[in-house]
Amino acid sequence: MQHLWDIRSPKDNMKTRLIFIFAFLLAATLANAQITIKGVVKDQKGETLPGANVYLKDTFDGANSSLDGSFSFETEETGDQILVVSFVGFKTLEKAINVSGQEVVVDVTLQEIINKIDGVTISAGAYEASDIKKVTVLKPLDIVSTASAAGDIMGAINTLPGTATVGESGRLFVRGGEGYETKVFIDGMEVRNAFGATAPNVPTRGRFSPFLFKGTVFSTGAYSAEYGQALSSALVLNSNDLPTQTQGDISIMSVGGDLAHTKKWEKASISAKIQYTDLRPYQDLVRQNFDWQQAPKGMVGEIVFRQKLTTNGLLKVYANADISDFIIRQPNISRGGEKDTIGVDNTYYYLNATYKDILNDKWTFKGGVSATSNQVDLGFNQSRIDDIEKGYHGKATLTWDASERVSVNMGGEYFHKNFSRTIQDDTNFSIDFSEGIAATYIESDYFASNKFVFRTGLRFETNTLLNRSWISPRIGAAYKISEKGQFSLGYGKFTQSAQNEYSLVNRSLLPETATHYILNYQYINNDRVFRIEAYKKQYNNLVKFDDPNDFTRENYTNDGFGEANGVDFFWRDNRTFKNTDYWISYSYVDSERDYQNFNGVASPGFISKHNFSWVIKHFINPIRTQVGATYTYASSRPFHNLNLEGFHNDGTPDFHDLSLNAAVLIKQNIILYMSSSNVFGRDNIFGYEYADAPNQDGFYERQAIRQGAKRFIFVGLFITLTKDGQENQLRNL
Amino acid sequence: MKKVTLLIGLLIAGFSLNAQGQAAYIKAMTKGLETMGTAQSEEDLIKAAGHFERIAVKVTDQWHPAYYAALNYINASFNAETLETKDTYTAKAQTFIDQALKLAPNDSEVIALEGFNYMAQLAADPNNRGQSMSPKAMMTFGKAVSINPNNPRAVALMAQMQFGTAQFFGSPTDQPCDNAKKTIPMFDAEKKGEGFAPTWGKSMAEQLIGQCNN
Repeated sequence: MQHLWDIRSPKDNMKTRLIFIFAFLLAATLANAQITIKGVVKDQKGETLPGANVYLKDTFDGANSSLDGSFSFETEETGDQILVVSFVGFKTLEKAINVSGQEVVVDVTLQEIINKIDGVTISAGAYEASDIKKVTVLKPLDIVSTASAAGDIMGAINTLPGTATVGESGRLFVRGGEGYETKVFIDGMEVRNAFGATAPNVPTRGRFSPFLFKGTVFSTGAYSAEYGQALSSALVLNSNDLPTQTQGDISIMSVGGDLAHTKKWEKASISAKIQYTDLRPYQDLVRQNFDWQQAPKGMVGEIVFRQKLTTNGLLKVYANADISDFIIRQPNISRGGEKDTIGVDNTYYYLNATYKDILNDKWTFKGGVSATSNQVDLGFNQSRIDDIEKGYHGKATLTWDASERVSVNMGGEYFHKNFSRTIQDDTNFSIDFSEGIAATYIESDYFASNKFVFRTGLRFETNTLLNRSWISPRIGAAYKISEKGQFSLGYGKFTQSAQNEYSLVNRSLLPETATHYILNYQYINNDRVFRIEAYKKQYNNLVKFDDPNDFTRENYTNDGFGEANGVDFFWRDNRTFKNTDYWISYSYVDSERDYQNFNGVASPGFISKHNFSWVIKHFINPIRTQVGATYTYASSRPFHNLNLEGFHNDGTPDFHDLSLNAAVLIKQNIILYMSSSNVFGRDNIFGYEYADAPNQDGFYERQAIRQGAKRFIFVGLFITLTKDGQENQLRNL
Repeated sequence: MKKVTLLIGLLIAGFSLNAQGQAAYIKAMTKGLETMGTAQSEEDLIKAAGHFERIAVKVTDQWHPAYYAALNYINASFNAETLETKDTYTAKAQTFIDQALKLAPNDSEVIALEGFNYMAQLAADPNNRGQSMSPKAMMTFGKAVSINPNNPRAVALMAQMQFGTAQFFGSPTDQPCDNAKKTIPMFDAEKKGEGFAPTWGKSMAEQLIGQCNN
């Protein structure tokens, strides 16, 4: 090097000389012999990994591994270097190597990252509809497009296994449980009275529009310690985040109409909606079995507010006001068929505010408050009873991503409830009670590998009315036996305070309890889902009484008990037939209990041993129409035939229903929707009411509990108007 | 004198080192664009994406490497077989788009690419994602077009979306077709081989125009 310096450099021109040196050095580097670095990328099991990115740190030298996992690239770097290997789903590996000679051979093994979201999941009991998770049984849209649902979330959920068809109720009866055993949550917060107020044997609907929610978790048992006060089931509805655009919506329906407007800013949005329904015109047109003195009518107002407070922090506020009433005349078999007049006036308010934020890599916060106020004024002939239920719920949850393998969910919540009943007569007798429940919960998931996860949880509840506490354990586990198939199991103890009308009389009634055991196998393969689940459920402390008209404290005890054992089956296929999606649910349940005024252990009247539903949706491209059908079958339900010996000694006919629907996309922003339940007009019978006393021949007269009409037909036109959405964008061109 | 010499020397050395880095960057980018130009299969596209990914890891003050890494992942998603793989690629693309957006938050090209990624996610599962993703994609293209109405990629991608929608609803395709045709002179006006600004997309526009003429 020295001689070059001497030859080329005029002594007085230092600058030129330096540049020269540099150019020379650069040239020298470029002229350096290239060294090949090669090897094979494998995972822990020794399988080769194609597509991994292999490179020398701080250089551009690298390559992707080929289909056989091998890589090879050339570099001019020498000496100690760091080889980086990165690949999705694996931990990035940095390996010190010495680059010298002609060729360096490095074989690397990557460690799999535990995938807590899309890997092994505890699926026992849970049906999830979500856009975010890849492994789901339902998509959010399914809720609106199921034929038998008629736009009701509960109707769509009722096509899933584990649920029973109880046509005169409309509520969710899960795995041998009664309607009240299912509890609804919006964004983790309690919703009281999620179903509209109704009269006996008049079916109700869920209050909330399916369009409010982006996802749903329907748990038929053994659900998380985060949720309590539900014996059978938790239905967790997750509301939409920020909307995409400012828009207006108009719906014109056969039963009413609504107007909505959404205004979106960059970090916030507000939506308001007003809905008016009146079934009168429809009922004048279509013959009804029920004798309506005044058809159900109602007004619903909704406000939805969203605000992004930090990068990941989202504040959600939802308010709902719902005022409805109807008057119905029902024949009374004990009075020779003379009709009772039953009027229901309902004023309902619900407020839900939640905030969720990712604090840092490890911690996520979720908290909120909800308030429900539900006033039902029930008129029965000349008498009137006013019930007011008020509920408040506050909750804070922290999720701690403790390590790669462990995540912990913990929090506390407080429920307050006040229930009052006023009998509107000369005395204006009024009675009320309050109950507070404080709960803390902690649950941790341990991922032993990407194949095995184990969950343990504890829920600790203190009831202020009873001044007592309960600990409810939860256990869950899942094991992946193959890429697509997994077993999971769930166990948990659940408590739920006695129903209002019982607690009102006897305030020392203990919570009812249920213990769930679930074993589940699930196989998901490219748009096909198969699930089979066996369960055992034991009920204890169920409220028991002798005479339903005896309002003395001693009449009500916790001596009831029961059990439900069954198997649920689910199959969904979105692949075999083009543009066609169908699912089949079948549930078998064997359930018996001794509760309320039962005189012995018997299968309750809401139980059908066999429940079957088949849902199909087919999209016809040329006419942009989705057609759907739902067939529902429920086997005979037991009832107490007073003319026969024994108890719950007779059965109703089987239930069959075929519902059809069609949704036509008339234009991008106009949808026409039509549906009809029970197209064949089958006269389904849900049970019988017997006269209090036998007639002259010693025979108890009876009347059947039937559907309100042969079928329910719905037609709706839904229009979306965007102003500064797409039209604006077209103008920009 | 000695001090001055040393100072000058250091300055020059510094400049030269930077120039060397610059040269290596240019070389690497050029090579990447060449690889990308010939990439057809999913494997080739992933290789090209990997190449830009390596540049993006080292050169963190330029948005082009991240842009091209994302573009190749998006293109790979269209060639991938399963929904799971498609989603892996589009998720990966999004991370690079986010990186590019940090450096160039109001660049029409980067925003158009984000819209293209939404389009890819939509195409992976149109039945379930159509409703939620198509307004999202349209909004994003609209934003890109409003920032630079002469970005032929933004206009062409938007026309593509509009054409698909119009075709589905059986409504006239005149407007998207006109928009697609407008992009050809915009594409032709772009200087190829100068700098690393995106120039792709002409064949996509031509294909769409071909469909329009059918």
